[in-house]
Amino acid sequence: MAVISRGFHRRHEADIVLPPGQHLTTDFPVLSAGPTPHVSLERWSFTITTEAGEERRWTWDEFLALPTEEPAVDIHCVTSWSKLGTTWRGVSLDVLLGDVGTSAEAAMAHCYGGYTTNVPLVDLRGGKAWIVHTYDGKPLRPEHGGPARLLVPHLYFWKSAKWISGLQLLDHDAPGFWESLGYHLYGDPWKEQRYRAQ
Amino acid sequence: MGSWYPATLVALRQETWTARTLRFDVPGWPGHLPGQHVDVRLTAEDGYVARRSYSLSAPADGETISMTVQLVEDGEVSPYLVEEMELGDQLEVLGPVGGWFVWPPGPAASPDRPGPVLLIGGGWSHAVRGARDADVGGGRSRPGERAGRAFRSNRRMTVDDNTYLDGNALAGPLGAVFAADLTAATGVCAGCGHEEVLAAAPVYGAPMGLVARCNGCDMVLLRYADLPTGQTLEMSGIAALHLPSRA
Repeated sequence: MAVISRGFHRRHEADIVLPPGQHLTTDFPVLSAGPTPHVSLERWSFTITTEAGEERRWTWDEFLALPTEEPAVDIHCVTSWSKLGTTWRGVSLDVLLGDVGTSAEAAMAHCYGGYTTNVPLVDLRGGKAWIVHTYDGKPLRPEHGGPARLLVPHLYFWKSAKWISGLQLLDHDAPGFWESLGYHLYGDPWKEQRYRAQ
Repeated sequence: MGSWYPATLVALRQETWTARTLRFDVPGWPGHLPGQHVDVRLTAEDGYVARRSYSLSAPADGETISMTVQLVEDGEVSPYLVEEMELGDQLEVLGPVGGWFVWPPGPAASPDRPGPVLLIGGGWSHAVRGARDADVGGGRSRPGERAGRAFRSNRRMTVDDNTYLDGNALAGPLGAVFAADLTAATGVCAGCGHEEVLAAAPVYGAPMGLVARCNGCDMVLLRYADLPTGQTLEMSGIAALHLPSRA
């Protein structure tokens, strides 16, 4: 009787094109800027605040009632690992931003625990970003950002903020938590935009 | 040569950003001597098998063994052991293997039995932890006492929480910025007024940066990033910093 090591796989690296400076992982490393917040679903909410101060808020039940999508995407961490074909379920930001009146340029993602990260609003629209609550068919685990996280897979993964609580829409882009320590304001992995020029 | 034993992961401890100790229950384990190692066999669900050798990093303790594994980033087995494997997961071990360089425990008895050996490497935080765990010394030096106290006082240091390091991780990086060892300094949290040596603060964010937080209120005390483009230190969460005079 063979003992199976759950989660162990052979590494396949041939014929895969990764962004510059990245290597493949089949694991899902955890990187957090603080302790894992445990947010009860009764208290959870997601709020979009416009540059004019208007708020649109969803409770957990209201959020779950929205139409969902199941993106299967590659993710790229600035610490140099990439993970291919990750599967998620959640709500497209096209849905959440759909009836929000705004002419903002940028958004600051805010999170339970205090983390922030900035993303241009155009990068959150057009089927490129989601608020996800399910990973690999199971509820998103707290260490990976559950109950819900932002997913913006075309940017480095620090932009996909864990434990998201809302988006603040802004007239001008401003640096978030890691950006203010020298990480790139935009973070395109294919252009290897890891750091800001000093 | 021994035989293959199923082994179940029962405890984890993060040692550095890229190394952790894994403790396994191995029913039927015959025991081992310091210096011996094991072969590890991992079988994927599709039947693929990988086999590696790892040193045993703790004395024999009944039917449990410990291995301390350093991550090799593009490796196949070490990323699984360091980042993926969870409590309750299984692998197989063969051993104990190796008898060429072993060190029998116990007091000096003869030239063949020269007594205990203590290995000391750079980075005393880990050394003190290891020494305490192995029950070979209490950390009598001042830094040792500080490290021991930092670990005992840290309410969040549990085996299944590997998301942060202790404040001693700041010593090397901040040494590049300050002449004094800031980890020995007492910081006053700007949020709640809690006072504590920096070495006792939980440190998150590695390897992107270092984020030291208050043990009292979780607020960010300081943030530091060492990037190819430059170093940035932000300390707005520390209301005051007291550096002890050098003895």
